[in-house]
Formats: sequence, structure tokens, C-alpha cells
Amino acid sequence: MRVIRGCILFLALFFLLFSNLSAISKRSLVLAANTSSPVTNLTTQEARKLFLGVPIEKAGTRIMPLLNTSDPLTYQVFLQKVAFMSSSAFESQILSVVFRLGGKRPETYSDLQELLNALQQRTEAVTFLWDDQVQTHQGIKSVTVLWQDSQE
Amino acid sequence: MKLGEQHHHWGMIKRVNSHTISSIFFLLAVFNNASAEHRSSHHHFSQSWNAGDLLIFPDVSMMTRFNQDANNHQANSEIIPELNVFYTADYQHFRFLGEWLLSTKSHNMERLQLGVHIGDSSLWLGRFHSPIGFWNMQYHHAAILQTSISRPGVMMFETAGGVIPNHLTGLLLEGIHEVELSGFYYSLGVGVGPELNRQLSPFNIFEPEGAHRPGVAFRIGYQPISYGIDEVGVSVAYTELSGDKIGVHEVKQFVATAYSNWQLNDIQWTTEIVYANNQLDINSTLNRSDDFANAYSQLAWAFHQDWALYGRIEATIGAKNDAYLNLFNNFVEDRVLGGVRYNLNRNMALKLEASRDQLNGNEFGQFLFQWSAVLP
Repeated sequence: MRVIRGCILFLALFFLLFSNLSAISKRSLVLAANTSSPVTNLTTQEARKLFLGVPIEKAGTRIMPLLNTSDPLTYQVFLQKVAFMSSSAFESQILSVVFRLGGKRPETYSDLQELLNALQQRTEAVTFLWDDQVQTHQGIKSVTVLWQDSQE
Repeated sequence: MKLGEQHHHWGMIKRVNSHTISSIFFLLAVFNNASAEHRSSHHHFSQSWNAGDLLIFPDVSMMTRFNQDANNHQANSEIIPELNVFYTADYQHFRFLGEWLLSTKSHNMERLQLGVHIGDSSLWLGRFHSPIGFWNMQYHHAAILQTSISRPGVMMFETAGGVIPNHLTGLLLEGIHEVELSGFYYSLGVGVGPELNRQLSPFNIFEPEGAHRPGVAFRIGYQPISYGIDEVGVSVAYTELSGDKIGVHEVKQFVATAYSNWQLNDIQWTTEIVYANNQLDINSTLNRSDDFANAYSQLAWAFHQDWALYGRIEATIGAKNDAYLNLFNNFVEDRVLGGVRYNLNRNMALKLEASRDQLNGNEFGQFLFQWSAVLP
């Protein structure tokens, strides 16, 4: 009886762990915007430039990037898969691009709730979030997938 | 700098044309007011106006020189505080960019540009950084952006005894032509260059004076990832310099450069080769043509998140008896330097640098210390 209970517990733990890993591995980093935003599509390259301070206009609207530093993992995935730079190099490059060419450094949000509030209030704003974060919050939509874990 | 000289320079600063300063602050006030209004005004206005960035770059450099030759015109010790104010804003497809420098050595409207976006390009009117070489476009009066304290001798500022024009006043076309992830970054500047007197004196927008002749510069760089750090490229420039005040009717200067800036993990490697030909038209019967080549290579290793070690070597061929270089007292022909940089936080850095320089054939040593920051 003890063996059977042990097996059931092991199987339950295995399925729990597997389903969680599966959920994590399928997470996608998306570019999120206000549901009223006229922005319907943006390439990863355009998103990269946008967060470096280069002006991007879509449907007659100048897009405003909001830098999401609220979660270290989210920020690191953005840096590695979208910006292709380390954190210090990215900050330095933003400053360098704006100093050389003009433009504006993106506003930085270290608090997720403040970031979501800003996104819900400003139709021209975009940021990067996990797709499940977009799905669980009202008033925002996913514009494009910036990065998706290829693991199944 | 000697104490008496410092007082003299501060006196000079106090006598800065009040019109210049008031103009700058008027412009900043206008644009900042516009920015403030932008935040609270209606949607259409906010779409037209894009409040820009106001960046303030203060720094203080301290230097000590030793074993200087009696003929050298540099002070044995100097303390140079510097304040660089940068502002940029957009209105629809137009962009304004201004940079104003105040230091005990000079004060100037470094850049004053009004531009329009045309597709992936920008067409600027005003005074701008001449698109010559890598260093001149990448680093200017924003010390915190530069890993080292000193600039390579061949890329020294005009006001510090530089031998190649850093600024043009006229039209600048620049942009990036992207091919998938990579990009070709191009710049073409056409305008008036500096006048040659005791040093190169670029055109002053607020106090135009002197004889300024035409100049043109073109630069193209390949970036494997556009707007990234890695870049290789070439640049060429042709500038005519009027030197009537020092007994040289005209200098026709041709400059060509090739550069590379590469980052591999924690290592950044910057190399540039410069060739310059100068035809001196001293008077109607006396002409002279000389050329020199200069190269520098800098290696920086960020061995810790906040720490970096760096070193640079610079060398010049053909400097001896070059009639054009002989007009300049402070051109560093050869240099070997090493330094360390510590980032106090995201906005502040401390740097310490030691170098062995060669000036007019004479060697001397130099220690430099710098605090630099960016606000806000």
C-alpha cells in the first residue's frame, strides 16, 4: 500500500512539474500596447530601434516605448533576444544614439503595476511583457511576438 | 593651469557674450515649456510635439604633466571643469538638436541643428559634428560616454589644438540603410569649415567672424546589427582653410580614415587609421604639400560590472618637418596610455589614466583623473 501511495505521489509530482515546465517553456515575450492603439504590427527590429531611442511611426502615430525593468528575467530576455546587448551596453547605447542623432530615451518602469497603468492610459505607448501577462490584464493587447522559447 | 591663468579663463567665461547664453536658455525654456504643455494638452498636440531629452554632462578633469620640454606650451598641472548641455525635441517630422559647452578652456554652441526626417534619413541645417572618422562622431563633449579621459591626438578638439576639423556649418544628410538586421550608416556634410589662426577656429553661429571656406566630409559604416556597437567604415573629407592671420593664404586639406569598433563579450577594440595631405598655399610663389599618417588602437576590458581597464597606443608617420603640423603646438604625435574606469553608478564614472606622450619630438609623462556624470 505504501508503495502504491508513493507511486501515485511520484506521478502527481511528475505531472505537476512537467505541466509547469511546459507552461514556462511556451512563454512568449510580446510587444504589448493599449487595446485602442493604432499599432497593429511591429517587427522585432523596429522594436529594437524603438527602445534605443529611434523614432518609429505607425498609422500616423509616433510610438512611445516604455522600458520594462520590473522583472529581471523579462528584462534579460529582452536584452539578449531583442536588443542583443548587455544591460550596461544597452543603457550606454541609448544615451549614445540620443546624443548623436537626437530623439528621446525611453521611460523606464521598475514597477509592473505602474507600467500597466501607463500602458492602459496612453494609446501610443508600447512595452514588452509575457503573453500570459497580457492575457490576464484588461485594456492591453499583444502586437507582435518578440521572442518565443523554441523548447516543447 | 596656473592660478593666474585660471582667473584669466574664468574672467573670459564671465565675459561670454550674454546674447549667446540668453539665447540658449531662451530656447531651452521655450522647448521645456512646450514639453510641459505637451503632457497636459490634447491628443493632437501630443502627437505633433514629442518632448525631447535634456541631458547635462558635467565633468572635472585634473592633470599633471612631468618631464616637459621647455618649448612645450602646456601647463604642468591643470584642473578643467566642464559643463555640456544637450537638448533635443521633435515637432512632427522636424527635429531640433542643440549642444552648448562651457568650460574654463572654451565656451561654444557645439551643435545647433534643425532637421527634417525623410524616410530613413535626416537632413540637417546648422552646425554639426563633421562626419570624419569614428571617434569624432561617436564621442564628443560628453565625457561619461567615452571610456578613456583623453581623446586620440589626431581627433583632438579644434579648440584644444586639433589638426583636423571637427565641425562643419551647413547641411548634413545622415541615415541608416538597413539590410535585414545589419545597417549601412552614412553621413554627408557640406558647409563651411574652420579658420586657421593660432588654432583651428570653427564657425561660430552666434558670433560669426573670420574667413571660413568650404568643406565636405563623407562617412559610411557597416554595422552587423544596425544601431549597434560594432561598426567598420571609412570616411573622407576635403576642407579649405584660410590662414591669412598667420601668413598662410590657404591650406587645402584632404583626410581619409578607416576605422573599426568591435565588442566581443567584455572586450571592446577600437582602431582607426588616418591619412592627411595638406597643400599650403603660403603666397603666390611659395607652395608646399606634406602628408602624414596616424593610427591609434584602444583596447578596453570590462573585467567587472563597474570596472574597466583600458590601454591605447597612437603613432604618427611623417610628422617631422610637416609644414602643416608645425603650425600646431599641441599635436600629440605618439602616445602610450593605460587607465582604469570605475562606474560609481549608472550616471557617474571615475577614471584614472597615465600616459607617455610625444609632442614636437619631445617626450613627457601625464597623469589624468576625471569625474564625469550625466543628469538626469
